[in-house]
Amino acid sequence: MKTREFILISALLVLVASGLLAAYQMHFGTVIPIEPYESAVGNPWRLLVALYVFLVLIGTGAIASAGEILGIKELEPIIKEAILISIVTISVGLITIAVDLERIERAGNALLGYANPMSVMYWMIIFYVLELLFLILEGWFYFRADLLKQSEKRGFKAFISKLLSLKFLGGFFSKQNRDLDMSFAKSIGFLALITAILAYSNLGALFSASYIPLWNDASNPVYFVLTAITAGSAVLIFSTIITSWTTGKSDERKMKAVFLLGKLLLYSLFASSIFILWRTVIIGYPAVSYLASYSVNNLIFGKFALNFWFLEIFVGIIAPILAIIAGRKNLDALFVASFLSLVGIFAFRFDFVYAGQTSKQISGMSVTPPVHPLEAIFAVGAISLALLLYYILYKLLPMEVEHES
Amino acid sequence: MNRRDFLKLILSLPLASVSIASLKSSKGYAMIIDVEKCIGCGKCVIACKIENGVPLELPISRTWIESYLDGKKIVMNTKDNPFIKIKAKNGFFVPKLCNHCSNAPCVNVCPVSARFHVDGIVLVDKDVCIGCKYCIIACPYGATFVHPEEKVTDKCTFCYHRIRRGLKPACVLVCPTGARKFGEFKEGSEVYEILKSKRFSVLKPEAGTNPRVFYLNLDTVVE
Ligand code: SF4
Ligand code: SF4
Repeated sequence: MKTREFILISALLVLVASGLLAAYQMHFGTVIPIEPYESAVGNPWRLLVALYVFLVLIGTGAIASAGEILGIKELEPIIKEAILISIVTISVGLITIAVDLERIERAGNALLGYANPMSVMYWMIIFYVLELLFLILEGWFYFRADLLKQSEKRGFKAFISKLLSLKFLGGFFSKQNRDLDMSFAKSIGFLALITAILAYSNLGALFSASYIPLWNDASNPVYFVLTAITAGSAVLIFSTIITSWTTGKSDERKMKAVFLLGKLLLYSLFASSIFILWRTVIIGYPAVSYLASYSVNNLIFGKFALNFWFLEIFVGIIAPILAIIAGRKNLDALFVASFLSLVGIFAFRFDFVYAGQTSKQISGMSVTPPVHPLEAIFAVGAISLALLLYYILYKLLPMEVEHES
Repeated sequence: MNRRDFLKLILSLPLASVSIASLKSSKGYAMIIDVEKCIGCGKCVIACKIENGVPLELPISRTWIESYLDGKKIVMNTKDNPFIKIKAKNGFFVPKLCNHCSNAPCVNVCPVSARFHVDGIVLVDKDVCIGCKYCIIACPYGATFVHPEEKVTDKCTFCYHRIRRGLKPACVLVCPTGARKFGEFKEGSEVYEILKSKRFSVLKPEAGTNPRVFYLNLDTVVE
């Protein structure tokens, strides 16, 4: 392992460990109890919910599946990355939301025996678990041929490949098998795409199903699908460029895919800006209720104004649009644009979760600290875990693109 | 129905028609709070916290009192009563609690069916609740919270453990002015007769929750 890699892994491990300690402290610790803040007094849903929404709405897997189904050849070289990123982000997202539960040990209740099919949250859990399963299956079929090939070599990677490809059950590499696997992957990808759209729109509906004016908006489901595409294309651009820089390998085909994703990012950012304008005006200004205009004004002129105008609008939308348009066919510009739009999307998730609940606070409730230090440490730990898992998978799995489907 | 009764019914319709209809179709309990009688002493808050094991010091409570004094809203939900320090000219007190909505958002959203109706009362199964806090988000009244020791959500149960034995809820029992009335909503009962004869209102009727907590003499919209 190179020194640079060693430092990176160690740093990530330290951050993941701190996150674990923070989670332990939140649930079992006595020093800084977080519970009194998590009541009707203030914000019951906080940073971890915002982080969960951010993570599970990174639609890389959906973009890959859509690309496969629509036969978009340019996206083929980054399909493996896209599937892996979705598996990692949804898994870490589900861990994050489990940590946010007061009774983490009962997390399985919704799946086992106590289901409430009337609840949007129940369906959210079902759709995300299904999406994760479909993505794992899709990924397995997509990787299997290359895993079998890799298993013929020697060393740890070969051993892992043997295990993951279930070679001991009698699988072997052949072009015919690969074609069959690819068609399976495509069919399961279709199911993954459908469940992804259901999961994203259901998450939007989960917020809509409340009396909270900033959330109670019929456009949420569509908007969530749209921002999942924005986040997915931004993460794919960011990760592909950064891996090509760090590994020193620049694959022409992957870069072509990145430029196509740049276009997708640009269009989805344009659509987002129209949505934001529409939502803000529609919710806040026909002045349907005092709470509605209070919430919107608080977002755009009040406590959240800096986040909204600077992070969400300028950093998250205007700057990336300008960077993509000005730096046509320029990788650096795309890299910057993808990073900035991710910052903007995270700010949007944060503001959406927090500012929505300000309407609770004006009901005489006290305003609580926006972010508890333990939550922040856990959030950094969770993001580090996602990076670490992706790094490990990227290192172990055969990521090179050899075949044509 | 004589002319007088008819006029009374007409007067009460705009605020309460939905609630009365839903109550009539399902038997159960109801609470009536007379805002004019509440003096903001906070005895109900303390009694409820002691009866139901809610920490006295923390700003969480199954029932709490809101004061609207000189146009300013203040909340009392700990053992310290902020109202006694205030010299206000005008104002009134509104005791609040879970409204035991017939169409309860908290019951609908709970992913694990931990919330359910019994005799019109909304209860929480504390052995099942996973603490996702969706019910806190969904409740339009801020009536539910995370219990810091039990680590599940908690809220008013109309003192179900007491009323099952024929006792009154703790808050009703200790109220020195009789501002809270409680009982089964059935023909001939005290609450039935009051609701039949007086003009009443419910909180946030626009939320469509059909509350089982009714207010007398609340002539203004409170948040
Ligand atoms: S007042 Fe709130 S907690 Fe009580 S039943 Fe209605 S929604 Fe549920
Ligand atoms: S916190 Fe408990 S009672 Fe409330 S919705 Fe979640 S599981 Fe149900």
